[in-house]
Amino acid sequence: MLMIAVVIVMIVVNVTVLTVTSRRRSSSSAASRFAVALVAPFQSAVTKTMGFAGDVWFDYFHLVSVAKENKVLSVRLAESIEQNNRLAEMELSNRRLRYFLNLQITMQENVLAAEVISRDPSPWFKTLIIDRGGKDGLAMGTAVVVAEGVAGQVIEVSDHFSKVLLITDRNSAVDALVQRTRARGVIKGDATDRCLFKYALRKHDVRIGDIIVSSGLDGVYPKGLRIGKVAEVVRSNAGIFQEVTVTPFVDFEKIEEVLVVLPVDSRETGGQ
Amino acid sequence: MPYLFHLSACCSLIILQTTVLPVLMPGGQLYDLLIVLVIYLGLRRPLIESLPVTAGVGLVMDSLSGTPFGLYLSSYLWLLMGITWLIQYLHAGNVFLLVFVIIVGVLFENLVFFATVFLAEPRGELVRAAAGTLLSQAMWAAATGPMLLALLVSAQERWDGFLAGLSAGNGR
Repeated sequence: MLMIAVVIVMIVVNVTVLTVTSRRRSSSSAASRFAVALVAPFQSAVTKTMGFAGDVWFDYFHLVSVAKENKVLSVRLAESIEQNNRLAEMELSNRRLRYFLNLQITMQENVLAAEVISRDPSPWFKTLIIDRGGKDGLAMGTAVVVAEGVAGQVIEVSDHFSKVLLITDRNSAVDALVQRTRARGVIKGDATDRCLFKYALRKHDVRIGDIIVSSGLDGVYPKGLRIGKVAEVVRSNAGIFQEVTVTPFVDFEKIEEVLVVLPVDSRETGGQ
Repeated sequence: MPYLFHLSACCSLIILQTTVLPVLMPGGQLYDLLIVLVIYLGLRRPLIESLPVTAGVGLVMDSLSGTPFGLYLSSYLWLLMGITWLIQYLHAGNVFLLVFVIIVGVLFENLVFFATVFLAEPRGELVRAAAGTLLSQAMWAAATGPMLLALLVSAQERWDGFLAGLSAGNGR
């Protein structure tokens, strides 16, 4: 009986502690940063070794010229997709009436390339570790993007490595809007490979195939970055919001490099 | 000195799991390899040795992952305590028992993690995703868990033999 009581008490204490720690996302402890700083160099070395071995195999033993051409064309295609999206945003914004004379147009942000050196070991949570940290100008809340669209934001920073929370994680939230109708909502991860576009009012027109972009209003992601495409819309008879499911443009299983959008003060100091 | 072996095993498994396997097997369908290490520690090592190693590896995994801090630590410690209690009544050398224990350990950890996610936002899609993940991880655990456990046992025995040889050489 005593053993059972002890086990029950331990379970209650454990659940209570986990409940408390799961709500305190903002701080990163020194122990956590130390663990990342301890393991991440090995992860980086192994990643680089695997990348080198893969490059040697792919470039020198298997269709050399085709591989080079494919890389060049892939980069050009990604640049064209992003440019096309920027032009679509500009076209939409020029059509609207503007009453404010001091409108500030979003300029191209200062970005820093980073390599993904490890992924979250659990399939239920979606994070990455990249090989850029505080010494490179990163800070908590720094946006991380790829050519296809928004990837996530930095949630922990050590000197040379950072942990990135992907938008498909349940703890992630991105202020977003429908590119076509400017209906506003919040993109939240749901621990699967898709996201939910929450708090979209039922009166707003949202259709399957609509593109979701960042609104810029959360102060993390620049405005107009692609997030995903609407895959499902459910308007129930009750409630003021519609349930919208979004398929992200980014294939998070295949990310190898990312771009970090440096904070303003880092840009002014050169990111050093 | 035994802690040096455990440190090496932990580092190797963590790097394998976070850096190598996501490239070779994208999709996150392979189980947590450190569960096998915890089971090995519970079966073959004294508690005074297995407890700090399990706690340390749990803290490192919590730091590297996006889980609420303490989730990996809690899962591993409960698993270790369960294994320590179980071997008082069951024969640890039975292969079928080992497969069963590994599968139960994998399912236990995943259910704890799933409960954390599901309780935050209950959705039917999560249950379907969980079923697929649990089945996939259980199958991989059944197929590769005993081999990994045997590898750890063999490596530990070789390490112990190496240390014994060093001690004998120094004693002369």
